[in-house]
Amino acid sequence: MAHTGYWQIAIYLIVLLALAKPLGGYMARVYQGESAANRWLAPLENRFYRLAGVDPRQEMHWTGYAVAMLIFNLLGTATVYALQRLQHLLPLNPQVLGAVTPDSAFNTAVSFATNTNWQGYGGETTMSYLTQMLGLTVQNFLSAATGMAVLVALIRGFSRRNADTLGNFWVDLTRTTLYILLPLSVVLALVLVGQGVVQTFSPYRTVQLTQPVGYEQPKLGVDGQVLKDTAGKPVTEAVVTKEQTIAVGPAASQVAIKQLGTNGGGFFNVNSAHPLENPTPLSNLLEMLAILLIPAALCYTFGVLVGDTRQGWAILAAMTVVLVALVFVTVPAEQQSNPVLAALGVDQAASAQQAGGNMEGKETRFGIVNSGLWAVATTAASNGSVNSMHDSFTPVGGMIPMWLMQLGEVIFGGVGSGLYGMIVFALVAVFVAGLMIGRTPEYLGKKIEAYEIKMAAIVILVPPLLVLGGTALALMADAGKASVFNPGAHGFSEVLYAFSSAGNNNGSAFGGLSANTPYYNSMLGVAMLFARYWLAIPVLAIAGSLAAKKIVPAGPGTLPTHTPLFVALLIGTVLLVGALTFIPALALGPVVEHLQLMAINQP
Amino acid sequence: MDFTFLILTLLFFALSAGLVYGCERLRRSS
Repeated sequence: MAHTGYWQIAIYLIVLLALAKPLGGYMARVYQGESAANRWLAPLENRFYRLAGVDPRQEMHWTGYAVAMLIFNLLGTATVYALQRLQHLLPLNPQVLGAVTPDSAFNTAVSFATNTNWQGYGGETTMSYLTQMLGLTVQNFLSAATGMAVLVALIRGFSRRNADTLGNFWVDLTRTTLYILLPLSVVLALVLVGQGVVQTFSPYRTVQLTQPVGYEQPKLGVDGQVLKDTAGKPVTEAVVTKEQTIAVGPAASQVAIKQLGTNGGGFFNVNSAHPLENPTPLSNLLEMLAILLIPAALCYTFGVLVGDTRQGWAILAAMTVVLVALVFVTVPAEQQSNPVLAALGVDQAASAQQAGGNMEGKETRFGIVNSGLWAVATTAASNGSVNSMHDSFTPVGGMIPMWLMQLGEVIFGGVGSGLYGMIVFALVAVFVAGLMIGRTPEYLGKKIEAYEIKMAAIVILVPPLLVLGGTALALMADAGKASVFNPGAHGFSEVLYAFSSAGNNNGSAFGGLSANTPYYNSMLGVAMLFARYWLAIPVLAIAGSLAAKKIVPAGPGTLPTHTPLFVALLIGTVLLVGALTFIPALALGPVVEHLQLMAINQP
Repeated sequence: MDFTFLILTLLFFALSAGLVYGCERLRRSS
């Protein structure tokens, strides 16, 4: 890897960590109701409450908070489903796109409501502008705000004592959207427009090509089926085209929140690899920063709200260590030459003329480092946007994004959900430490007892059940196998990646798997639902249980949770759970594929 | 409009409300 690659990674991390404190401090003030935005926009905020018939002073028990979250998300899912099914009857559809099929509409509605943003469809060929804006972009805001609201409720569980309530879900949701997500998105969208990201209601443009393009395409019979010759091979015909349709639309406003809200659903099918969604190196840097910005800053917010910023820094340190370590696995893996191509004498060395390494599926303007760094960031966070095709990564390079998702999306993770997942791992870590020394574990002054650990067990066990169970079922069912076009280990990796993505609410796709089928749309949709809400509910239950407890002063037997020792213990807990659960499955996919690739060099 | 998937979604959220109830019962009994 060239030294410029190290600099790019270093600059990215420095800017990210430098922004964590100011933004984290601001978000803490928002949730405390003390920011300048709270004061200036209070009339607007109160007007929303009056319109919705909400009393913002009414505190909620954890069960009320959870039910409000469920009802709100049910309504969001139903709305996005209806918009897709009725889009042919609704305005802002200049391409006259038809209704989305029921299974795809279900998958997409669930995907955007759960902050997963798995996309079985191609945006520019499926969704009207109205569906993209009113359905998908709105859910980008609201699903992100839901995750952050659950996190704030959990933090109140730690900071309150002998309390029955966790705050008001509607207030947390409104403040997150109004004071955090909207301002950041407006600023980022405007900067992206300045860089060339498209934002328009105009219909798609048809342009003349500077050179006619000729290609072969399958010939269709009168019945619309592909004609085949006597040998059973498809009959093709030569086609020459002189024009191209360029999809446009209100992309920048969606791209900004899809990155900031760790949603990841692209306006266009190829997501941020599309030149109108991510045109320049600067737009690429800003979009990459936006992926991890709020998850990183929320660690500091957590520290402020529990009254000890060292606790937030410790968690951010644990996340950063894992992220950096895995960046330095993926990027060098992609920078290495492909042995198959090397055997053919292809020059794959990095030079002034080329990025070198494995450039299949990567944009020339981003190169190896920015593709690998994005892949790790987007799967460390539960973002899932891509600027390169993960299916074309080397086996090791592709295994890391997959494993990051399988770790439970706690290395930065989704906005809100990543940190509450990591805090659950912290509870398990102090529990393990407590077992070692025979003392009741404590975290932030709250005793961690059997109930919290039972809830933590649900949080940790649900995703592996969805990922491994879903993969196993898909590979046994004919409908599941019918979508796998790559034979052997790589085909297995594609299915495992799809369920790892849905079962952890990431949303990125390995590609290669034909997932827009009734089977995958349904199975992945159900996986996304359980992965989101059956983790958020036990987290809120933990919050409710902790809020009711008194705060125990730290004593000589208390394990300090802001030290490097605890950071190491936390990292060990996350990695061990992730490794023990998923290494057998990874061994069948990317590990086998890597060994097959290395065997090329053997005599 | 096809209501199969809307009903499936509704069933899931009803089940999730059951999880909320179950978690609270467990909390009160522990």
